[in-house]
Amino acid sequence: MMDYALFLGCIIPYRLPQMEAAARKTLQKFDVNLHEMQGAGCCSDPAATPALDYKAALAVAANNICIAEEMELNILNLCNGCFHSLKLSNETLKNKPRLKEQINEILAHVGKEFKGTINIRHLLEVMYKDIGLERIKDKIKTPFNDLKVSVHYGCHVLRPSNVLNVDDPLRPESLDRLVKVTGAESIKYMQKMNCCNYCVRVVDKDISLKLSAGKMKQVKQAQADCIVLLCPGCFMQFDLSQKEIIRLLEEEMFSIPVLSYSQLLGLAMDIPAKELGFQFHRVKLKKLFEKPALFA
Amino acid sequence: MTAVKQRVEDSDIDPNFKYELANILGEKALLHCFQCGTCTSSCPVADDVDIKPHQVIGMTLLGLKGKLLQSKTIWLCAACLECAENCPRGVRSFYLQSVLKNLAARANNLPEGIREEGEIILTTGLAIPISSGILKRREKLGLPDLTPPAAETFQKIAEVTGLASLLSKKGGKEK
Ligand code: SF4
Ligand code: SF4
Repeated sequence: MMDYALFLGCIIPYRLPQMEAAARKTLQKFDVNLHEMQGAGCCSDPAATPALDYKAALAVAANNICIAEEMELNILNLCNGCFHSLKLSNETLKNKPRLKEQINEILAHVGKEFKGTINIRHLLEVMYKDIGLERIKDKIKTPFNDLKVSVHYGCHVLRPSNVLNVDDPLRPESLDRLVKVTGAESIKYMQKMNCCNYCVRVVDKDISLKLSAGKMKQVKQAQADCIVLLCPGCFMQFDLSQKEIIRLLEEEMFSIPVLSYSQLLGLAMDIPAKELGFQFHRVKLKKLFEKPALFA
Repeated sequence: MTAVKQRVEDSDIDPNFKYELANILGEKALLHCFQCGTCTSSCPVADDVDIKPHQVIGMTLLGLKGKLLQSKTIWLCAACLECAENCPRGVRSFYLQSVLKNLAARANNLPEGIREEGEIILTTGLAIPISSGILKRREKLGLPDLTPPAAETFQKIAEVTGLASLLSKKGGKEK
C-alpha cells in the first residue's frame, strides 16, 4: 500500500476533471491510497508567478508543501507544471538555508513554516519506478492491437533533469515503455521532444499556436492514431486548440485524439470510456474506437 | 535586427548589474557564460524574439540593464527549460530570465496577460476561475467535492512580497 497527498493544482480539477478521474481510477487498482490536501491551491505556475516575483512564487509553492508536511505524506502530482513548481521549490528551500529563512518569514504571516520533511513525486515516476511495468501488465485486461501512439512527455516532468531526476532529458523512455505495456506502439516522430508551447499563450497566442503547429504536422506525418501525454497544459494545447493549430498548417483538416496516460491505461484495463471522461474531449475519439481490431 | 549590434553609450552600462543578478539568484554561474549559443539553438521562441537567450546573458554581463528591462520580448518564453538544461557552463538561463522579469515588471514592463494571470492566482488562489459546468462534469465522473483554497493566504503572500500593488495596476505601459 502506498500513501500520497494528492496535489491537484488548478487545470486538472477545474478544467480537465477527466484526467483526474482516470488517474484516480487506475491508481486505485494498484493500491495507491490518495489523501486530499485541504486548502491547497495553485502551485505558483512554472511561468507566471516566478516571472512576477520569485520569492512570492516560492512562498506560494511552499504553502502547499506545508499542508502535506503536516499530513506527513509525500506529494503526488498529476500535472507536470505543478510537479516542476513544487519539486523545484522543495529542493531549493531544502538546499538554501538563507532563502528558506526568508520564505519562512513570509509564511509566518499565513501561519505556516516550511520544514523540508517530504518529497515531491510525479505520476510518471510512481507508475514506472514504484508500481513498475510488471504489475501494470498483470492488470491489463484487453491489450491494444495496432494502436500507434505519439508519446509527448512535456517539459516540466523532465527539465531541469538535475533537480527533477525523473528520466533522461534527451532520450527518456519511461512513458514509451508504459505505453508499450498496454499493447500500443510508441512510434518515432520528428520533434518528439519539442515543447507544446502552451506557456507562450498568455503573452502571444498566435506565436504559441504557430509553434505547436510544427509538432502537430510531424505527428500527422508519422501516422499516429493518437497523442498520449501527461500534462494538462499540453492537453489544453493539443486537444482544446487542435482545430486552430491545424488550420495554421493550411492543409486538409484532420484530427488526432489526445489521451492522458491514465486514460490510455484505463481503456486497456477495461474501465468504461465514460468513466474515463472521453465525452469531454474536444477532439472526439470516435474514429479511434471504431478502428477495426483496436483491441486484440 | 539584434540589440547587441546597436550602438552602446557609456551611460547605458551598469557594471554591477551582473553581480546584482548573481546575488539575487544566489549563484555565480551566469558569470561563466562563454557565449556559445547553445541556449539559443535549443530555444523554441528564438526566431520570434529580438534579443535571443544567449544575448540576454551577454547583455547582462555587459551591464545593459536599461535595454534589457525595457525589452518586450524577454517576456516571450515557453518556460520549456531547454536553455537551463543544455548550458555547458551551468547557467540556469530560464531562472535568470525570471529574475530579469521581476525587475522589468517593476520598471513598468509587464505584459497584460502575465499581470492578469498573476492577479487571479494571488487573489483567488487558483489560476483559473471555477465554472459550474466543470463542477457538474466532476459530479458525473464521481469525483469528490473540491474545497477551494483560502484566498486570504494568497492575498497575504502578495501583500507581504509587494506584489499586490503591482498586480492591481491594470494595463500599464505595455500594448
Ligand atoms: S548555453 Fe550557457 S554558456 Fe552558452 S551562451 Fe547560453 S548561457 Fe552562455
Ligand atoms: S525556457 Fe524560455 S528562453 Fe529558455 S529555451 Fe525555453 S523558451 Fe527559450
